[in-house]
Amino acid sequence: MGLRKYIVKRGIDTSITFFIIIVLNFLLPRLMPGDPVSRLIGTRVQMSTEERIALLKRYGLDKPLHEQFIVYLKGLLRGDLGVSLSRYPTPVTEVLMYGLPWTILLVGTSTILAIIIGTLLGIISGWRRGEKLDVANLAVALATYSTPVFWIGMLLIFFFAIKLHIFPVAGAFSPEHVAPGFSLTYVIDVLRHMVLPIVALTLILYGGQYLIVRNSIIETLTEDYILTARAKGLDDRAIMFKHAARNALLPAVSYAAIEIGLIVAGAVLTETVFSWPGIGTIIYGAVLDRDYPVIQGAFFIIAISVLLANFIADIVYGYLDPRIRYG
Amino acid sequence: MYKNVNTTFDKKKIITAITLMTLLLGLIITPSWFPVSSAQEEPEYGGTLRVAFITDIDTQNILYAQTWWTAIITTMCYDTLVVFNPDLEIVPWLATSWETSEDGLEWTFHIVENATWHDGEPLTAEDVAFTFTYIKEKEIPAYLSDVELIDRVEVVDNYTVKFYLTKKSATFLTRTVRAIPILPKHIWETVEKPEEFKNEEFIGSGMFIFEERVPEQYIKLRVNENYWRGRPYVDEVIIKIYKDQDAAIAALRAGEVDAVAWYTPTSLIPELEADPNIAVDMSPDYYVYIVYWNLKKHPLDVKEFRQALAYATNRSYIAEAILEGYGEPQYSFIASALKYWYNPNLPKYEFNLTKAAEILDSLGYVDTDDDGIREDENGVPIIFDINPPSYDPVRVRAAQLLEQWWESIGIGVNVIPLDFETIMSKAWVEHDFDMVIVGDGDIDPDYMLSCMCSWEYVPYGNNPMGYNNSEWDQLYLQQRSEVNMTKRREIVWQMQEIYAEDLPLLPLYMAYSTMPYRTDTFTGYVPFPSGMITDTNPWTWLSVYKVGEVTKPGPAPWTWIAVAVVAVVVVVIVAAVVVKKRTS
Repeated sequence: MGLRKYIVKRGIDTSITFFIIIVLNFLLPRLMPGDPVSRLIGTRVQMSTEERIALLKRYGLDKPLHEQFIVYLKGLLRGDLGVSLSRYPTPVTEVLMYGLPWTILLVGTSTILAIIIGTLLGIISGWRRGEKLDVANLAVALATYSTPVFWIGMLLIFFFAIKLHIFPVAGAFSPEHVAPGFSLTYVIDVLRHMVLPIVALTLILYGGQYLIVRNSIIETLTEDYILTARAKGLDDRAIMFKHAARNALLPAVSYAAIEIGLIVAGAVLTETVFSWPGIGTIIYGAVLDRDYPVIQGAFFIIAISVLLANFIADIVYGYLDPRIRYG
Repeated sequence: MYKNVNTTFDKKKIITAITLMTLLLGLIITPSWFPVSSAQEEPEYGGTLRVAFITDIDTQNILYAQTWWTAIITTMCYDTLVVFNPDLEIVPWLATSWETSEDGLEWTFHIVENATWHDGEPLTAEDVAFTFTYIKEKEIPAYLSDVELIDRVEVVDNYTVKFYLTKKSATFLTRTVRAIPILPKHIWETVEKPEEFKNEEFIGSGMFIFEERVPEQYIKLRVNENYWRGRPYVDEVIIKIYKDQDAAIAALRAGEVDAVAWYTPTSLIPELEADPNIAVDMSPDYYVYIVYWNLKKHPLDVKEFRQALAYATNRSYIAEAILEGYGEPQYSFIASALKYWYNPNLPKYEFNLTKAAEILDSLGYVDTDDDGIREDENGVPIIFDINPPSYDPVRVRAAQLLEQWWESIGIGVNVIPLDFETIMSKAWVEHDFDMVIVGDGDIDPDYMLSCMCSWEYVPYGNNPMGYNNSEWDQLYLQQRSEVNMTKRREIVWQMQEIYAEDLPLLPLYMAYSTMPYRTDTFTGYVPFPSGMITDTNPWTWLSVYKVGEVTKPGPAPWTWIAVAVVAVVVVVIVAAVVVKKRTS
C-alpha cells in the first residue's frame, strides 16, 4: 500500500474517531451532576425560582436531550460553537480565544523546550549509560518528572517573586506599567512574566521525553548494525547521531506528537499557580460552571489538534525509518 | 501613564520620593508653616488602586450578569436609585427622596439633577422610567420577580418619576429599586435583543468609567471627574484577575496588588497579619452556613429528633476551633449581621449531649443490636450522609465535628465531601440527599424566609428540605406585603420563633468577610457586611485614598544581572557538554 492509499485509509479512520468524539463531547458534560443553572443557587447573586427556570429556557436546556443534540450538530456544521452559558452572551470561540494565544505562547514554548532538552539529554544519557553523567541526569529527570507542578511553581514564586523580587508573582503582564501592544516594554514585561511558569512547566515536561529517548537509545545500542558501524571504524559521534539516534527516535516522535497535540489543552495547574490567562483555566472553569458549549468547543479543538498531530507523526515515521511501509 | 517604566525611571522615582519626604519632614517640623494634624487627615487625590479578583467578570452585558464579581464592577460604573449604608439601612443615592401613597401602590422618586452619563448626556427621569420598563418588557430572566409587581412607570418631570405597583411590597425598595442599575436610555433603546448585546462601551453614570478590559487578565477603570456625588480620591482602579486565591495573596505580599476582593481562609490570616504592611478586614457577613436536612427522610421528619441533633451541636466550638475566632456561631437562618431583622431571643439549644440522648431515648430510638448506632421504631439503623463541599476545609471540618458529636449519641454519620455543583443538584434539583452544608443569605430577609415556603419545594426551588407549614406560608406572604418596617419586623421575628421550634434547617456559623489589603499604599476602605469590597458596598470606592507616595515595585536593577548570570551558566553548561562529547 502506498502513502496515498494510506492517507485515505487513515483519513477514514480519523473521521470515524472524529464522529465518536463529537457525540461524546455532547454527552460527557451533560452526564456530570448539576447544570449551568443549579450551580447559581447559593451564590451571592440571589435569584428566585421562576428566574432560574426562565434562565434554563433561555439557555435551551429545558428541551429534550435529542433536540439539544440536533441544535449542537447544526451549529457544528455551520462552524458555530455556540454561546457560552457562564459568560452569556459571549460566543464560545471568543471565550476560547481569550486564552488560546497565551496558552500557545506558554505551553508551546515549554513543550518545545522540553522536547529539545529531553531528547538531547536522553541521547547523551543513553549513550553514557551507567556513567556519572547518566546517573545524575536520570535522578534529576525522575525527580522533576514526579514533582507536582504547583509545588515547583509555589517554590519559584516564593523565592524569586516574593523574597527576591526578581520576577513578578503572576499574570502575563502588568497593566499598571505597560499597555498591551507591540512595544518593546510590553514584550519585555511579558517575557519577565513568562520566565517562572516556563521553568516550572519545562521541568515537569522534559522528564517524560528524556526517559523515552534514553531507553530507546539503550535498546538500539544493542542492535547488530551498531556493532557493524563500530566495526567499520566510524567515530562515536557519527554512530550516536546517524545510526543510533535516528532509529531510537521513533517512540520519541509519537510521544512528542501527543504532547504537541495537547498544547491547546493548556496546563491547568501551571496556569492556576501563576495566574496565566491560558485556556486550561478557562476549560477548568467551564467544567465547574457546567458551561456545556465551552466544554464542547474546547474538547472539540483539543481533539482535532491531537488527531492532527498523530496523523503528522505517522507520516514523519516514514521519513525517519525507511523500514516502515504504510499499510 | 506608566508606559515607560524602566529601572532608571524607578530609581529616579525613589530618589524623588526620598527628596520629597525629606522636604515634607522639614515642613512638618516647622509648625508655623504646616499644621501637622491636617497634613495627615486630609486625603490626597490620585493614585492607581490595584484590586485582585479571583474570577473575571462573566459578561459586560449587565442584565445577564450572574456573578458577584460582575455586580461589583456594575456598582462602580452604574448607579441605583437607593443603596444600603454600612448599617444596612436604605439611604438616598440617585434618588434624593421618595414618597409613598396611602395604599402603598404609588411611589414617587425625586432624582439628582446633576448626574450625567459617561458619554456626557444628562441622566433624567426618562432613563429611570426606561430602565424598569425595558427590563419588564424584555423579560430579563434575572429580574423577573423584581419587576413583576411594577404596573407602569411614569415620568412626572425631568427629575421626578412615579412607579405604579400592582400590589403592596415590602421588598420594593430593598430588592427591586436597590438592585436595578439605571441604564442610559439613548443606548439601550436601540437594543432589540438584550440577550445578544455585548455592552462593550459599558456606559453608566457611576463613579468610575470603564476604560479597557482584557478578558481573563484585567479591567481598567478611570475616575469619573464629573461624578454627581463628587469624584472618588483615586484616579484609577485596576482589577487584576488571578486564577487562584494563593496567587492573589502572594501578589499582595509582593506588592503587586493593594487589596484582594476575596475572603482569606482562616488558616492564612495569622501569617498575613504578621506582615506589618498587611491588614485583614473583619466585616461581618450576612451569609450563614447551614445544615440543610431532608425532612422527607425518617426520622428527620420528627421535630424532636431534629431538636436532639441541635442539642448535640456545639456551635460556639465550631466558631472558636475551626474559624479560630474569625466568625460567630449562628442560631437563626437570618444572620446576626442583619441586626434589624435578626431575632436575638431565640432558644439556642445549648450544647448538651445528655439531653440529646434523653430525647432520643424518649422517642424510642435505642440501640437494639449493640453496634453503637440507634435504630428507629422499625428497627432501621439511623445513619445519614452529610455532604460538605470539598473545596471548603472549614465546612469539611465542621461536618467531621458533627459526625463526632452525633455518633457519640448513637446517630450514624458519613461525611462525604462532594463538589459544589453536585451538592446543589442533588439537594436543590433532585431532592435526593440526607444533609448538606451550604452557605446562603441575602441582604434582605425575604429570600431566606422563602427558603421554607411549601411552594418552593420544586426542582430549582429554594426549599430543598421539603418543609411544609401553612402558617409559615401565610406569614411569609404577609411580611412580603407589609410596607410598615416595624410591623414587618414583628412578623419576621415571629417566623424565626416558628423556625427555632421546628428546626427545618440547622444554622451553624457566620464567617467574617476577611479581605486582606496593604496598609502602606491605600487606606479608607469601608467595612460592610459581606466585605469591604462587595457588590452592595459603593462606599469603599468613594473613600479609599492613597497613603503618601505609592511606590510601584518594578524590576530591581539587578534583575537583569541575575537573568544574565543564569543565561551565561546555561550556555557554559551546554558548551561544556558539547566540548566533552567532541573530545571523548
